[in-house]
Amino acid sequence: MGQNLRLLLMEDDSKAAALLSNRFRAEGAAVEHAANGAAGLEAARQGVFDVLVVDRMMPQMSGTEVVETLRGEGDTTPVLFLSALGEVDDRVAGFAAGGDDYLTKPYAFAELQARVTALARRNETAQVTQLQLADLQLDLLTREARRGDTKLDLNKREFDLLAYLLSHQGQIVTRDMLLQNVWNYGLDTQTNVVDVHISRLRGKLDKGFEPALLHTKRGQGFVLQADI
Amino acid sequence: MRTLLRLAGFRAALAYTALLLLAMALVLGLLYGRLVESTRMAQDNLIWREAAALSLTHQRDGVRGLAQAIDTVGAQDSYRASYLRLSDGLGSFIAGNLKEFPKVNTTDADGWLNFTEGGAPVRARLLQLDNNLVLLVGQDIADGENLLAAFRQAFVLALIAMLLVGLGGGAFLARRGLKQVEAIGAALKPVMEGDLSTRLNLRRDGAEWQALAAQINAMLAQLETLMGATRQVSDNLAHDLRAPLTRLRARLEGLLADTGEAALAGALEDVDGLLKSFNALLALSRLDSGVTTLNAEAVDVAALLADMHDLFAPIFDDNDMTLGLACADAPRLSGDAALLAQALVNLLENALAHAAIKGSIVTLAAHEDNGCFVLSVADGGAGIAPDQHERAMARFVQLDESRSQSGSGLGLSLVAAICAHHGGALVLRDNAPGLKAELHLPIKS
Repeated sequence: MGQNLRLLLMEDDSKAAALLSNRFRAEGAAVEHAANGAAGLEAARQGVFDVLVVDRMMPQMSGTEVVETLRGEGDTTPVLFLSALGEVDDRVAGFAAGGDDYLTKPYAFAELQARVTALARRNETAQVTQLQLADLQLDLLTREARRGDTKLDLNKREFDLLAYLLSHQGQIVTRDMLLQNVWNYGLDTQTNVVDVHISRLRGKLDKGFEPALLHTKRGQGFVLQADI
Repeated sequence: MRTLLRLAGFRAALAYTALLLLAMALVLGLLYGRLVESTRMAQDNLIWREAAALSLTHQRDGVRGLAQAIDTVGAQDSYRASYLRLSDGLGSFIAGNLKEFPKVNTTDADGWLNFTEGGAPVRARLLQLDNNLVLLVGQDIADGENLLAAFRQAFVLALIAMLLVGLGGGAFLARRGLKQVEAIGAALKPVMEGDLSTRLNLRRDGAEWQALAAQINAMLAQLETLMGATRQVSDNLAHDLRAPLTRLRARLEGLLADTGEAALAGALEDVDGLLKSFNALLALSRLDSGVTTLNAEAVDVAALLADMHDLFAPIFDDNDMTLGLACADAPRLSGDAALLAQALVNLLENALAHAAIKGSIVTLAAHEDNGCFVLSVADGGAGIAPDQHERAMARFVQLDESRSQSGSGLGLSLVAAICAHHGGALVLRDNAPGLKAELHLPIKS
């Protein structure tokens, strides 16, 4: 996460807000916290932020009202809604109010971090076509993967999986994030379907190569990085 | 006509018409009987009077006088209303306007003869005047018979007219009733589609319909309140449980990041397991209560199945099983792709958990059947006894409780609720061996 990422967190649950602020600060972001909608609206008007993280249900002024007001005033700062309500119509209401992303509680911090980063980078138009980590290289146009001089024989899904992990290198990627972004389904699974795909990818990616790149973080997900 | 006959209103009208027809036929029958009786009496009296007069003439003036009188009557009777024939004991003609003895059609029990003369019906009587004289006195009764025939015709026409009016009126009333019921059905359609704010408006119609509409409206209002309450409760529950779980998860994640303690990773996995059960239960109760409205889009079934096959084939492979895919050109289905995918995931994970027999094949398939689109997952495991199929779809039921399975017992009930949400049904079948779970989804949903 960029050193200079400025974040405004509107969340009425002060304990949750404190935990969240600490995690973001530990990752190098500057976090301001507002404990209710009215304070949040005021803070958003006063300060300059890269991303607003807004709880939908807050006293005095709901998250959707705050964002509607800000959008009405011409503020285009990216907004990510946090909500305990995850139904489709709740999400639609969030987007209709002017939100750019919607995350249902409870969420893995890794997912929130990935989405906030994506929103902050939204305006960077540079199209990435090459991804790289240590001796691993991915060409998104020719869909070729190499470790050093060796071409990796990946099928379409394995390539997409690796591309997603690589574009989030160094960050923890949860199983839900992979299902949502690689398979495009928000699914609840009871089995380790994703782990099986990861272990196959690891077999092609790390077997016979040094250093190992794809690691499992127990209880959290997976991370692609050279040193651990 | 067959559909008309199924209508209660038409049947009632029909029964009422039949009763009225019966009563009317009875009245008309009695009337006709009396009419016949009095007509006959008038005709017979006329004949008796003529016979009495001629008999008197015979007594006073003898055979000659009688013959003369008969000829006089014949001469006067230009309309030939009377028929007379005087004959001797052997039947030879003496006088009258019937040269030959007529061919008698019927003879009544009380001695009346009926025959036809010159195309007209004639009623007559034979009188034995003395040993050698027989007098036939008859009367043309065409006028009376014509009158009776006219009455008969009128009565039959009246009955037919009444039958037609009864049928027509019944059909009209029944159709009107049907229209009302159809109007109510049409007005309630939005309710079926989830809009509980719909109300019936039958202000211009009969009191009984208004009463019914009022009842239905009261019921809808109650349903709307209940549904709102259910939604509120489930929203509150979601919020009140998710907020602390979010904190708990964040805390554990933070600690894990700081310390790297392995026990914390286990605790995180437990929290996620808890969340999955909670989400499944919440989704199920929302689907069941009808709070969730169907988020219908065109679903590419072939692509959906291919995606699920792609996702699950490796894990089946790791369990030494094979996941087959059998899907011909599938049409697009109107439905919620995410829910349908979740239903297939639950069925596939059931097959992994309960039918993990090495070397067996699990088939993911789709085909059209009788207006339904059928998505199925068929395994080669132990299956479920047919008498347990119903129970298997109930909530929190795990059939093989002896085995320690990690599932919540909500899997199949969630699949059933998703099918119902699409206007379809989950059907379990014996795959001999194994279980075949079919999602029957109406193509036009």
